[in-house]
Amino acid sequence: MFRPLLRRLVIGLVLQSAAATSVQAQTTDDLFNEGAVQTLEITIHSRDWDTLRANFTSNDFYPADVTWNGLRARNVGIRSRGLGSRSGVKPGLEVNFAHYSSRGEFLGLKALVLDNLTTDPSMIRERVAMAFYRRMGIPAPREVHANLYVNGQYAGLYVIVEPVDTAFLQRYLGDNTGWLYEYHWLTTYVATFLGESLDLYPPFFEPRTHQTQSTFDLFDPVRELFRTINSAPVDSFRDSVGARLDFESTLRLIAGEAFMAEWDGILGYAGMNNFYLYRPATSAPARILPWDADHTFQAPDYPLLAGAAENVLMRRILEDPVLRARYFQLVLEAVNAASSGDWLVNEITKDYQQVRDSALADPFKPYTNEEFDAAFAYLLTFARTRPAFVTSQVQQNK
Amino acid sequence: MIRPTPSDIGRWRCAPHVALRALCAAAAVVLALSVPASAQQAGKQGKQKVESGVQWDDGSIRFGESVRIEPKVRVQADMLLWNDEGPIEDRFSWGSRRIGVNGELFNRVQFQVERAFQNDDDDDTPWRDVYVDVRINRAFQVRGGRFKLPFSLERNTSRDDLDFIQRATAVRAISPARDTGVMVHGRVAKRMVEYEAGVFQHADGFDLTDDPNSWSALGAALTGRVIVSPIRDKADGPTRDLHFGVALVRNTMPEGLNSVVGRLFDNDRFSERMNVNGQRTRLGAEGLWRGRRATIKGELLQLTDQRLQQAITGGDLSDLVQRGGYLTGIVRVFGKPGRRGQAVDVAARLDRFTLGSANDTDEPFTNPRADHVAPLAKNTLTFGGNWQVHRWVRVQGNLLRETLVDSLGVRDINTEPRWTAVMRFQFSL
Repeated sequence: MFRPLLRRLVIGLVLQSAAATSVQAQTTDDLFNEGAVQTLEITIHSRDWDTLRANFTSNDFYPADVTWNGLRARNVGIRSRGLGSRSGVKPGLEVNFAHYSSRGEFLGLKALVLDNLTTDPSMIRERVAMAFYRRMGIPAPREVHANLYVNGQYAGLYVIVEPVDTAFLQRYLGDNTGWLYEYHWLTTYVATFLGESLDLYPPFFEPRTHQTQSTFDLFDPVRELFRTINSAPVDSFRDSVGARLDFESTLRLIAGEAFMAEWDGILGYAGMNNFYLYRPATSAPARILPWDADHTFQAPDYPLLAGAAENVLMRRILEDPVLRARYFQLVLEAVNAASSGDWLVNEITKDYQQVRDSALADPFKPYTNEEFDAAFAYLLTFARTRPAFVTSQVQQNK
Repeated sequence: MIRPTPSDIGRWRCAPHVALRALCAAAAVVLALSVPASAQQAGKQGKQKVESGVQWDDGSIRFGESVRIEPKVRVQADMLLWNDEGPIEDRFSWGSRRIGVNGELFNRVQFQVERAFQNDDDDDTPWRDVYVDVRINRAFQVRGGRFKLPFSLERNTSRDDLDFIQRATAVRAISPARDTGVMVHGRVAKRMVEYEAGVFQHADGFDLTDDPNSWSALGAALTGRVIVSPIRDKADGPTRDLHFGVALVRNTMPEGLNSVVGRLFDNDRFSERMNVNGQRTRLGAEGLWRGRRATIKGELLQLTDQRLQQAITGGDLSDLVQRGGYLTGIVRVFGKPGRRGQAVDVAARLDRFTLGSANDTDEPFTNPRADHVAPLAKNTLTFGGNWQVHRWVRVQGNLLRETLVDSLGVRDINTEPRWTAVMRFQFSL
């Protein structure tokens, strides 16, 4: 009589143990596994979800449970996010695992971004762009598509974006003890010297680490960086600025963005945008890290040096023969990274095929299915023609 | 730290010159009025019969023995001396500015009308006490209008007579504000037992009259308070007054972020509003002992909120529980016992307020739909000195030490003690 019961108990324990092992073994590598469209489920009080969508311009957090692959993060904070991509129909979301408990984390992550893809009819630009930057050796957030369900209802196709935080810094730079700033676009800012007052810097550079330090400790080095960029004599520009800003990684990022026709990046159409600044705790120079690449692929013939003349940093870089030569060298590296083995074409095709069913089923995307397919065709055209155009631009300008 | 609500902002930001000017004006009024008041004190013993006209003895206007009308004026100006928050931009603020009138008609009907010129009591209208109280006999009186609910000794103590500049945190958070209602009250058992029982229109500021379901479940806010005083106004002996009391308030809260919140001295909130829905129950116990020169009093308060259908999944959450209390000791170091005349008191109060939930075993969170609400407490130690300069003028000084306690360490808050020193100048007619 007891044997079937005992057997069931043993089997149950074994299965539970196996399940627990597989759940515990999951890491961010599994979450950002690009091999498949992930599935995320959000459970939120229906009243809160209605309020979040009605007040989508607000940054108010609401409590929710988030489930991925059998792992449930309880009582996380979610809020509407984005600038031009804010939507009450298909809200972009920040998922903050530590908002309601300082101990909160998920696979070691404190937060995630769920990009609603409302500014990109192809729904794959940003993921392709970030993958391209990483291929070029630039520390860039990992991204993976996900079907999002809210209270059991399909809420559309999103992209899970790895946040730029201390975990990111440790992963890519091997150091997270320094000062991380998120740049906020407020007005057209082209790396000019903002002024002597340290109060001028926090609105642009929001500290993401060491937030409790004094204004001087946080912002004096930022002020001095931009002072040096603007006032260093021509003959000492490379050494003076190079002591405060890592030229190699900066030029690599600008070259990558230029190849990808980034319209809203370091040399954006309305000044600098979409980046983080990281100042290591050591005497090593600061680095610029990319963010939010949904305005890449602007046009196959988007000028290589668009925005360069207006931006003080880039203008002065191009005035230095050594830095100028290195920049064009890196642009050609980008061309090679994109065209070698048809990488860019293959990446776009792979991502498109992977997300197509989910994209077509997404009832909240602000595009038709025909526009989605047409956007894919455009990206392929870009990938096939951009390398030649950029190469010709390098020949003309170097 | 949670930011102050718009109504909080500016408590210490009033233009200094305006406050100073008013302070000087109030001082001038005091000086002017103190002369006839003193003169009347000298002739007090000879007065036998109440006559019509202004009676300077108690500041009232009388028409024979049947009508007494007493104007009320209160001006409280506060000066922040020091706090831990850094440089103080504006030291002056108004504690309270009110005018009003109270009185008695035909020895049967008492009334009061009072209006405030600033939101000094978390009220949603400028009107404070506006009521009529009819005395059938000592055991049965009926009060109707807008007035304080019978809950909490300190809440029902006028701001004029508080031992400290601010009420205890738990009293501010847990005890209800004024409301419109009807209350019966009286003294029985040779005045040893005092009772108050009432029904009030609203539920913590939420008018539920348009919601028949709420009314059927609610029947407005129901309150009751019983005080037993084995010793009252005893002229000699070590104990002059002794009383104990219990109180209850029940009402229904509408769904939403409607929990009560704890506040620091500067009115900044230190706890978040939580989702509630259902019955709100307040329980209170109070005690007071008064000797010849010393007084000890204290209260224990508890507020529980039901949270029906407030879980993330739509289910019920465990009750939200907020508790608190205080213990106050006062010693008269100068002056005669009683409330009139010149006197100096020193006082100390230890008060505590805690936020939590009935479920305290699960993983704790701070969110407004957490089943186990991460516990948070505020301990406050207040030292005070009260100088009754004149029957209408009082100067108070308080030194506070406020400490937030995050016992499970899940909140991102500053748990260092915060010190504040503040003075109050009060003119109260």
